[in-house]
Amino acid sequence: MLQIKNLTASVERKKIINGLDLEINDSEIHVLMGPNGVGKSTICKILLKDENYTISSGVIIFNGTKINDLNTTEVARLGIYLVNQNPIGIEGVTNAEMLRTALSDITGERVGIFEFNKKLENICKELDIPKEFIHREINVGMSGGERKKNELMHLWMLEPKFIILDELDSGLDVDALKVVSESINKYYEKFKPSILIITHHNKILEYIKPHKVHVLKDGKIIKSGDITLAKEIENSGFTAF
Amino acid sequence: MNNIVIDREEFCLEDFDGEVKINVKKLILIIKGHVVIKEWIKNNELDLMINMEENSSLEYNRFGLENSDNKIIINQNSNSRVIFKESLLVDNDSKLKIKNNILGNNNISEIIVRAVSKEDSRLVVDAILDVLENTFGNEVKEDLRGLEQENSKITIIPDMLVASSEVMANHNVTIGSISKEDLFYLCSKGLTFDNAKKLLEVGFLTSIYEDIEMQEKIKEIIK
Repeated sequence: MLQIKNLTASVERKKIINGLDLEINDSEIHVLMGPNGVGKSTICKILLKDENYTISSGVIIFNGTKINDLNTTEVARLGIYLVNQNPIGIEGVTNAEMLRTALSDITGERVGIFEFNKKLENICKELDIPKEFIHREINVGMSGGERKKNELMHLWMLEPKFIILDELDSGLDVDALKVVSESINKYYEKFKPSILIITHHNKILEYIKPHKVHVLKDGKIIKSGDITLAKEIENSGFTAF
Repeated sequence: MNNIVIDREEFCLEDFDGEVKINVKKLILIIKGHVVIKEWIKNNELDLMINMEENSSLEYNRFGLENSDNKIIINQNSNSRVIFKESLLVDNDSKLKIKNNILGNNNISEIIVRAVSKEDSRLVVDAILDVLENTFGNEVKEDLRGLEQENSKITIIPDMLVASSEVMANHNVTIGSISKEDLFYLCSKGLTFDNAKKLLEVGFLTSIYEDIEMQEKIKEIIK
């Protein structure tokens, strides 16, 4: 599904990613771990083609399409979805307006209001959020937990094939993390997407079980393994690598 | 001058397909009791004076499209409350001048403006709050924001002429362009760049209104 080959990328002329190789197959869940500041979140921005980040060499291939030269909209339409660490609030734009426009832009068809509302109401119920969220401004006046659930509401509506969870557990209490993780697991069971979890500690791995774990250091992956690697990190820290 | 006394709860002025068409260039509104006015204007040129009677309140929700040249004077005597909200979407040179005269005591006034300028247009917003000497117990506030698109230019002049020491007065002015972070966020959900920009513009213009009908009408007009 996703292949990153020898990727070098920078932000504001500072090289952050330096020779990164990563391959994620269909329906695989991978975890990218590393201490703060090693470029974990940079990978999210590069995959989503944030224009502040520049790819200087290497290729990113998603389902056979080279995405190096695509823009953010085109990448999103291929089915790549980012759940941001700190989802921003958008004043004056409601969830419903954004989702209706996104679905209509993606499919090229008018979105039927009845089915749209019904689906959204069911998602709100699943995520344990009031259905009033549908017509609330995106993430405005919401707590950290509510914002993450709001992002998952978008995810369930847009049905992406590849999900990036950037520090999903940040700003979440235990109960909210459980609800959010359960929702991700349900989505995985239903649609079998590939998932890239980005985190610096393994609390989230108690809820979402990965197939592979990678350690990121100096802008590249220095070690890969299974879940036991995450346990090794928990015991000995990142300095051991 | 044309005088209209408004003493009903809700009143609509509009020049789209409205309840009351404004075919005058000068108008005086005398506000009694608690009044909500909704107004949609297009290519409009108006000198409007609003006189607030004692113990009256006014919520004035106004939306202007294309080019306009409006002068609005709001006179508050005592114990009145005015919330004036105007959003403007202009693609030609336009002017908006609002002067709020606080003539007596214990008034509340809030002037909120959101403006989006497009193409090569020039928009000047001049907002003057004039609080007379020897008045007391007044709270006045200006919140004026502009969003410049393409080659357009917005000038906002916030004037606070406060001659009384017993007043709470503050103003907030910002002029900028659409946030790249907001655009990235919306495009990352699959929206085209143009539709993301449009949603943000409309959101900026409508976020000041609590009235859903007002918001929906503006969205419809912009479409």
